[in-house]
Amino acid sequence: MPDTGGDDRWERISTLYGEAEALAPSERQRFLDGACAGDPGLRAEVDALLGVSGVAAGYFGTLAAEAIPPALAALEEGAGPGHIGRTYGAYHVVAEIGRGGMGVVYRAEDTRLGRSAALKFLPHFLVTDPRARDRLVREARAASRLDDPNICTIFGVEDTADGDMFIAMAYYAGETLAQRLTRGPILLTEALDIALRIAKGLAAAHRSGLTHRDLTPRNVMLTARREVKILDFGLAEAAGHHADIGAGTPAYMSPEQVRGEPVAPPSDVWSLGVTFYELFTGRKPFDRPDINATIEAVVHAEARPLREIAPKVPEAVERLVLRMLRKHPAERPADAGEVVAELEPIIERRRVRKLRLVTTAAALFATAAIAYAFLRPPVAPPRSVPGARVVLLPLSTDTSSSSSRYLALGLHEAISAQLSRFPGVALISWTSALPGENTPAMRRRLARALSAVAVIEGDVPESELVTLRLHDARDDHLIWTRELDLSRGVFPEIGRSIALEIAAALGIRPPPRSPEVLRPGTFATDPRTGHVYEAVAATLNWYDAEEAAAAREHKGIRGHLATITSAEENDFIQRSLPVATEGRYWIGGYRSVRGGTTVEGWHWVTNEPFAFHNWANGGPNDYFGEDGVQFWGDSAKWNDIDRVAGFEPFVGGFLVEYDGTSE
Amino acid sequence: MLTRLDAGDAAALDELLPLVYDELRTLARRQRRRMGAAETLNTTGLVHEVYLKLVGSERITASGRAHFFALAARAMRQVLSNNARARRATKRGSGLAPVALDVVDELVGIDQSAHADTLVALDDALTALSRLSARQSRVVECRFYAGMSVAETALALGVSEPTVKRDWAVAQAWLYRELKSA
Repeated sequence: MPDTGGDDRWERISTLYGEAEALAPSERQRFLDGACAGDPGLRAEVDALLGVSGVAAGYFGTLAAEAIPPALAALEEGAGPGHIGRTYGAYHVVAEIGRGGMGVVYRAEDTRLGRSAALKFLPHFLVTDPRARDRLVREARAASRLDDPNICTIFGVEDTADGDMFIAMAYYAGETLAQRLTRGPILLTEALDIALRIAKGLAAAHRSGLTHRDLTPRNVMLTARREVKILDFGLAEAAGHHADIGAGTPAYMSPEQVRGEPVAPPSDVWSLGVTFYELFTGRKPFDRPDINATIEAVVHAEARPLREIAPKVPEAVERLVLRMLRKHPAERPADAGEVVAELEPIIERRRVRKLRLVTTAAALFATAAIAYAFLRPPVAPPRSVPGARVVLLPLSTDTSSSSSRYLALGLHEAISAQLSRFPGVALISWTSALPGENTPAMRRRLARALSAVAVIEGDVPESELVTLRLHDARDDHLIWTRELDLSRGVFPEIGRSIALEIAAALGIRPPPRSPEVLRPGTFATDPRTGHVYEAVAATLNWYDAEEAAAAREHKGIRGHLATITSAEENDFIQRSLPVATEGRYWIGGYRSVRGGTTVEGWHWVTNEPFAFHNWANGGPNDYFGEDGVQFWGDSAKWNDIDRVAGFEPFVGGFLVEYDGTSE
Repeated sequence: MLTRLDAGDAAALDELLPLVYDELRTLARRQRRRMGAAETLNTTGLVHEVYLKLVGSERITASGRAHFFALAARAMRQVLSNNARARRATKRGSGLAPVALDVVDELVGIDQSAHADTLVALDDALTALSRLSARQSRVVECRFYAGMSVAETALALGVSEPTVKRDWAVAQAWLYRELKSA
């Protein structure tokens, strides 16, 4: 390493000191007499240093041992005066909302303007560091140059009387994209919308000659008003500024950034591509368990095509994202503006196609249904369903309310799952968009096309007071109607009771009590059970998004298998599943009524029943309550299942519910 | 990511500092949890862990790796000195919640503010020393702040072990006299 500074005289002193120290004390005098001849000042300095050498070494040894560990410990505690409760100018600090290497973010009330603000302070230990202060100002300057609806608004930079410094910016209620992603997949239409908005915000930065350098889902805020805001321009640099090293988040860093090469907009395009990838597939393309492997993957590994993970992603989107993830910057879109230019038409095309689909759906469906029922030669004869054809329409919802939509989906599935079990009913469960407004004329037309005898429809408004109606297909005459309070969610029992009522109204007998024969091994792909997963997931989404996400994380849990309605069926499941699944693990929960008492429990369907309370530390009834769905996604309990059972991997599982009605 | 590091590169240090700080804090917290409150933190262990977290060992040349340690030592000095300065400023009566600091001191079990003055003085003295010999101040950073051995320091700074030994001894003597005369 080159010696970048120095003083010749001091170098001479040091050399003499070293040489003298190496000698025995008796020889030192003679050595220094000769070496310092004619320079008594030099001799005095060396002597003074040699005189303290022993005590100095001891002093620094002690100081290092005493001062450094506590100083580190203090760092660890993040010691420093808290800002909460204090007022700086118009800002009254209310709570801490985030913390990172270069800043602590608080929520504050702007007492003058009566709005909330976010204040980003330097961490206490950096308050006196000029470089850190520069960086904070740079961040504020960079972000305030950008006036774009998709970028966080900066109010200003202020110094406090105590020498602290903060950026004041808009406070947004909501969650980061990273937080949103942990809650489960985002619907494609919404994902495309979010993607476009991030790209637009980033494009504004690129137009102003700025590179963000740390674009990740953590730095993208999804506000409660459904806006997208890019945060944290702390690492942003004017394009063409000095080479930057080592800052950023590896899983989102471009190969050139990882290598410490100069970074320009194409590097942001890469990070945007990684973010898109995660947005559309739920997975990070280059995330590995440790940082070395992650860096290795960023530089060398090819991202798996998106459609292998998420088949619904449009091909054009996959092409775009993979191009954003090219290893060579020159092969990527040059900046976020180009990404916007490519993404916008894709979204537009999709919107138009969807509209067209809706209008032609009825015709298509009718043709297909008729073809299936009448025109296809009985090569593999369709399982003839001798029952009365009944159409279950999608329930009308308040489209602006996701809870209303989820509830409608859940209820629709709960009814169809139950009603399709009635041998006297041939249920046509209509899940695509309706061919027109839900009017009597439309219902009659549809019923005619499908040769149905009755139509079920209903409303699921935001208020959760649901109305269901059953119409005679010939004249749309109302046969039956029912109001339901679903404020506690959709449970299989509701589906069952509705199905029973509808069957009764149509004069159809309920299914016999004998067990429905489920063929183990095929039910995972059985449309009668597979689709229920979607319904339960949707219900849980509404019921408690976190629970749904926790359940989904356990990949092995594929969904609700069935509601078992008899002891025989329960026995059958328990006897046959372990054989059929051969070493794969299945889980079943049951609820049965014996002599008027409800008993709830779990079985590992591995020949080894165990009591529910063994792992839940509570009485069974504490737990299930009345709704069978509720426990399904509870994260604590799912984790407990792994822990208590002590097995890994958790290959597969279904919830089997036993309503014990035949006991 | 650190392959371009060059010792003495102020920009590199600028970029590294927040990362080192962030990692230090996380690791220190973890180490403390592992050990229990009474035991002291292992500085060198922390720096090594930070290193492992920040760079891919195969992606960096031997000299780049060595430079990292020199830079990490530098960052360590800055972090600790800044912390001491902030602590002292607070103590000198901006009137800001000194309580919080006392609580921390109590937890740590040592009167920290006494050392805060020393650490600030040492930082100033070291800056003065760097004008006499930049290399010697680097040696102090590695040996004192990062707790590196003579061999590690020699490797990090690209000098011989005897040079490190001599620099360390003479620097300590000089710094000691500076601190005592102040």
